[in-house]
Amino acid sequence: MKSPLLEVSDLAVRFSTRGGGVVDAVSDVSFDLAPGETVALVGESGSGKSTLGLALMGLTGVTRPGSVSGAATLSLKNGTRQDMMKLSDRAMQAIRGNEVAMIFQEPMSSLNPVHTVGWQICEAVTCHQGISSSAAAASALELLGKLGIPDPGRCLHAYPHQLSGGMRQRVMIAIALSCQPSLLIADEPTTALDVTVQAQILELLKHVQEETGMAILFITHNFGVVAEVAQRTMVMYAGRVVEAGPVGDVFHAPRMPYTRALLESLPRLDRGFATRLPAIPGQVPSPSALPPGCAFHPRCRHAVPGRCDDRLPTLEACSNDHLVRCVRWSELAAPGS
Amino acid sequence: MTPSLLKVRNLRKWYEIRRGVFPRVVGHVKAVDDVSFDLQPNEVLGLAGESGSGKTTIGRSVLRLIEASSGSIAFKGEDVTRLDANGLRRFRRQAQIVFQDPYSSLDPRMTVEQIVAEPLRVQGIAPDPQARRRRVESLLESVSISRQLLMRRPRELSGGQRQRVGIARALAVDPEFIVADEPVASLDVSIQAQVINLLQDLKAQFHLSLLFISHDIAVMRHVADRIAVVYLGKIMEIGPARAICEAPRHPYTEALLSAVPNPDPRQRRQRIVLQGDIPSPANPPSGCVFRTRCRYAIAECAQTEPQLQSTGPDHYKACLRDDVP
Repeated sequence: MKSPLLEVSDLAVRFSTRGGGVVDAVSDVSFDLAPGETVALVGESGSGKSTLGLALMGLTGVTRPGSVSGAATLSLKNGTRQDMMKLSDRAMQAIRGNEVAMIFQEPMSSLNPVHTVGWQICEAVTCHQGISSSAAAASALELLGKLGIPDPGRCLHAYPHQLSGGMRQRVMIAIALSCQPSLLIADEPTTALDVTVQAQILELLKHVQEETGMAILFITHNFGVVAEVAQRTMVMYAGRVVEAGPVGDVFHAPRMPYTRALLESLPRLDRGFATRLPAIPGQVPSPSALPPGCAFHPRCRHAVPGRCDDRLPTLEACSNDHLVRCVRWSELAAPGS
Repeated sequence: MTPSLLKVRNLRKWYEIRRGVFPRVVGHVKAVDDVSFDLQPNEVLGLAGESGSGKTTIGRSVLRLIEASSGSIAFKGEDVTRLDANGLRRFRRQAQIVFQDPYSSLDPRMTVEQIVAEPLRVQGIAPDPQARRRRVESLLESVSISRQLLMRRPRELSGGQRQRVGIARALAVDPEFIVADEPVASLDVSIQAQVINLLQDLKAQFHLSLLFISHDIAVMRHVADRIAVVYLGKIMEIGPARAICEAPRHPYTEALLSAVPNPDPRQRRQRIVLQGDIPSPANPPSGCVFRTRCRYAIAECAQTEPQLQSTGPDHYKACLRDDVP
């Protein structure tokens, strides 16, 4: 087995609130990621999936002071291994963009409206690789061409507002790829796009991955997208991983009642017509007021008083590589069996 | 056959583009161009399309929240485009809307009770405060909102609860027709199914007709009886939901369906990836507006604008080629 590119262990992110309370946005997350692999982090809003992505980039302190604990060890381009959580802000700057890059959900608000697209791509390259601006411009041009942008020369001189949503997301991808990172964190990169454009961007990411062999941590709420892009998936609920495993296993034999209920409630093109969707009652709990025990128990139809609300279940292996966080998983028959 | 509840004929909404020191009209943005459809009582017609296709403009024009440039909209035989202020108020007692974003469509300073009671007050229904409160309570009950939330303000509610309040407000005047503009797009996956089921129940309970606008054809398939697929302000295909989803007859519908990601990793379908973006409605392609991205396009598609023609029972498509897809 190849040594993983990224090893995350016991990662947790805690925010302090103004009232003096604490919010555990992410708790107890461990996983690894091999070169060339795509792992999908899937969950609803408030599940902590974006916070996890930001923590890996060392960006949790930007809007609110968050304290991150745990380790995230990355194999660097120079062959050494480094725990990113132990780095100073300054040392992290050398890694961010260069070794690990991120693309965000809304391409309009993540691009700078007062600079041309070319300027923004060159900024990252000149910053990290110390090459001349003309060499940077040439590589930006080549990159845009590779990403299937028609007339890349004109695009270089365009401002973000002159581009469509799909084109802007391509530019974001170009910026992320400009320094050939070994890990790409894609936070809902297609959520703001139309389905036809989403299909284009997903194809593009797969193509780029085949060519460069980078690993992708793909954050999304869309199970359809997970099935399209990822080999493994982690389902998050209320800041914790509740199920993880190969995409096929998690989708065809989900063991955590939350994953099961969520997959059943999806409107799908290949299901019966005018049928009632089996909805999940209630709503996602606020991370500042999590229920005791298993965070999903108030919405779970398999919950048993005294067991599910008593203590937090641990993440157990139910088969090779397939992890589940539920005290009752072994009693609940696997679907389809 | 029962008479149509809503008959839209040749609906057009063109926005003028003005330029110059003494602004002159130099062109038009054709947001909606020559759209016709019928809606039967107790029917759900889905309007599917990508952003910029004009589906929201159609929904708002039908309620006259936007004034159409031309065309006629007949609701129970009465032309909505000619109604005066009094007529409009009467019309809106029967026709309501649920907006996409439950965060910006509820007044943050009003309580849930005031929000749901506002249409009653405007329409002069249940003027007695006690009767009005009872009515608000029963409306909230039908959308499964607890009475304890009556005095809450929108910021204290979750997205799903807000959308339910928006639906209760639309139901307040006991309408026959509701335009639901992307009612579940902003909701979490686990909440979407709740609201979709609620809309289906309410349709049966209140004998409603719905114009259901969505970009998500998988959601629409669960709600709609018929689906109209819109592209650049024009209807490309319209027909029974099942026929549209299982045997699409228009190349655009085919591509739109194939682009929906399937949450089953075993089923790998042949994906048709459309190239490029939707063209600008200020300068739509000649002939068929979809031809620039269509993989079946032939030379004739640039010359002749296809008209909707029958391709099955109650099923129409606007495409010159009969042999595809």
